[in-house]
Amino acid sequence: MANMLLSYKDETFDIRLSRNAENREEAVVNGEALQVDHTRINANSVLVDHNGTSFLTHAVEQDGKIHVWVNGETYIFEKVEKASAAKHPGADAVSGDSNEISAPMPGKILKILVKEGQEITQNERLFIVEAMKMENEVKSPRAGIVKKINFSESDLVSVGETVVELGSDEK
Amino acid sequence: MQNHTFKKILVANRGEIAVRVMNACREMNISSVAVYSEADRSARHVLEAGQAVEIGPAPPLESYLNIARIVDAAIQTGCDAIHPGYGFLSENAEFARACRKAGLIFIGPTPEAMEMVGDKLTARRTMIEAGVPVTPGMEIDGSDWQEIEKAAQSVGFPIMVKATAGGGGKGMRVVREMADLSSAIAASQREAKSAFGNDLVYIEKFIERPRHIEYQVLGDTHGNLVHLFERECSIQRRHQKIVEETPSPALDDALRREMGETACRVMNAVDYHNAGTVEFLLDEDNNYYFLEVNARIQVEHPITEMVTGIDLVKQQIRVAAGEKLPFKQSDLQQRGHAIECRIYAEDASNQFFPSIGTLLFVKEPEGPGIRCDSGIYSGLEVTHHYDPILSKLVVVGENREDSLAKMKAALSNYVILGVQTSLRFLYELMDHPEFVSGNLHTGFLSEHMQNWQPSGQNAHLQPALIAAALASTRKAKPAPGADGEAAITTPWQSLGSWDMFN
Repeated sequence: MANMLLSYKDETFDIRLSRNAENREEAVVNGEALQVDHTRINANSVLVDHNGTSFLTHAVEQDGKIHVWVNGETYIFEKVEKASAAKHPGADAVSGDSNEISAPMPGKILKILVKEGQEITQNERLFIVEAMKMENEVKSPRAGIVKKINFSESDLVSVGETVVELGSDEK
Repeated sequence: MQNHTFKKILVANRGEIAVRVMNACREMNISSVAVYSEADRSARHVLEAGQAVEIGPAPPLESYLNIARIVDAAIQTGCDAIHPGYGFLSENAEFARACRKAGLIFIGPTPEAMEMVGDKLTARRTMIEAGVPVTPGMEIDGSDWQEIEKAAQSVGFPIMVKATAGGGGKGMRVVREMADLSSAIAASQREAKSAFGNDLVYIEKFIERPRHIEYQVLGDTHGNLVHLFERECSIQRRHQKIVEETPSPALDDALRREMGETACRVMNAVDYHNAGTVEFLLDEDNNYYFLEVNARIQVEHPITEMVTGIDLVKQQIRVAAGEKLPFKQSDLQQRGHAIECRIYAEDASNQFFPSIGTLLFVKEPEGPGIRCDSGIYSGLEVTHHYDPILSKLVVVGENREDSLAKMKAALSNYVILGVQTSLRFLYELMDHPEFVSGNLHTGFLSEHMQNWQPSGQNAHLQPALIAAALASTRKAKPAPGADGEAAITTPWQSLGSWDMFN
């Protein structure tokens, strides 16, 4: 038996590929058996027969993610490693607290509009990221105090990197 | 067959438009030279050109806006002419002059005409004199804040702040109250400086719910000037067009003719030749106002080509070489209905934030009436340095309904893996009842598709999971080695190499 765990959005899928008693290819997804007759077209493309309909699919794996196109829809699956799967899949989701304000896209920090220790109101502009010649303002999701600023103007940031850390109002 | 004067043309641009111009050159038996920045060594336009010259680092100011380097490259490679594409130096009179001085032909209007229309303030004055209707507005000189405040009060909010140079939404801001005006002006100035190298801005009255209707114009150097009908470009995000169509569902024959004649009057007022576009706003009572002239080929030029049968880029090249236009106004007509969707690397479900990365797999749609002006290929790196446009998908159908159906089919057959794209968003837009009815205005997307999230996603989750599992097992298989083993095997032949656990 061969297994893999793939996560998509908040769901995790346990996929087992095997041959059944009649030597037909079969996939069991989260306990449900699916016929998976398919024809490989080339290195990235497979024709998948699903419930009597043929779907041309294109898929590429990179950096632990599998990008799949089928019928005008794009899916990105993440491979869940055995170790983290054993704990609880999805555990490394970003914390729900909005204390860490991150760059919404990769680009250059054009301007930082606040200082460490500064009191700010909700929706106050924190910094401007420039990507592809467009300026994008990032505003504070809540009132509070600027605890820490991790970047300077002109620095390049990747998506998700924390630019500004907020603290609570109480000193 | 007439002999063209040009032997070799340098294309001073990148991406899909550079590829488009090179294709026209190839068909006309003219060699093409690409220029590229350090970030673009393996960009699509470099691969398509007969020759390519590196002109500097990734930031546009040091490469694609570097006049001296580009003119040098043209001279060193023995070019006769330069095609500027759109954006970058396309509407830069200084560049057109530098070409002229170096003995190169600039494929576009004269620097004099460019200056008359390129500076939006001068253009407004000229049009008012020529009796062309303009939007109520106010010119701002310098940076005297008190003066700006007074001007803003007299025009009345909402106000649009615009860069006097350029277009494409860069440097544009809508301001609804005085408190936001100064930061909007500052941001517009920075964007304009970075994109066009010129930070002058002006303000005008923002007309609510207007349609954006523009006219394609083409003039030769022998006094002939025609329009090639309208394009409606009301579907915009961040003040940038993303869907264009022709004919516009808003115009009847009488209004179409009247606006076309006005467009020609606009261009004749500045003695314009080569290809250009006259933009109008059409309000809800069908009043139209001159907006600006785009003194260049436009992103959305293919839809005009699809309904008129005229290749605008080839005409640009011929007119620049001194040829006469081979047709008169009365020879031109619109046949069928064309739509263009701009395909961007961006996340439509998250404020259209640009998405960068490697394009892992690209397959473009094809079929009768489908055209894809593309600047991409599988393996291309999409960087943060430039506009995130990947390609333009254009269709022509018998009528609007046919054209919409064709566009939906083409969008759902377009495969781009590796970055987020606007494909799904555009598909759902084509399906939106208000879009289908043709009830368009420039605020359409914020009114009808604000905070859009994909609907009907996951419809094919099961086949997608199977495809993912198959791709993953294929990846786990060691690469074919010296034993000559075929690269393509089924996972059922390679069970041994799977990630086994439990």
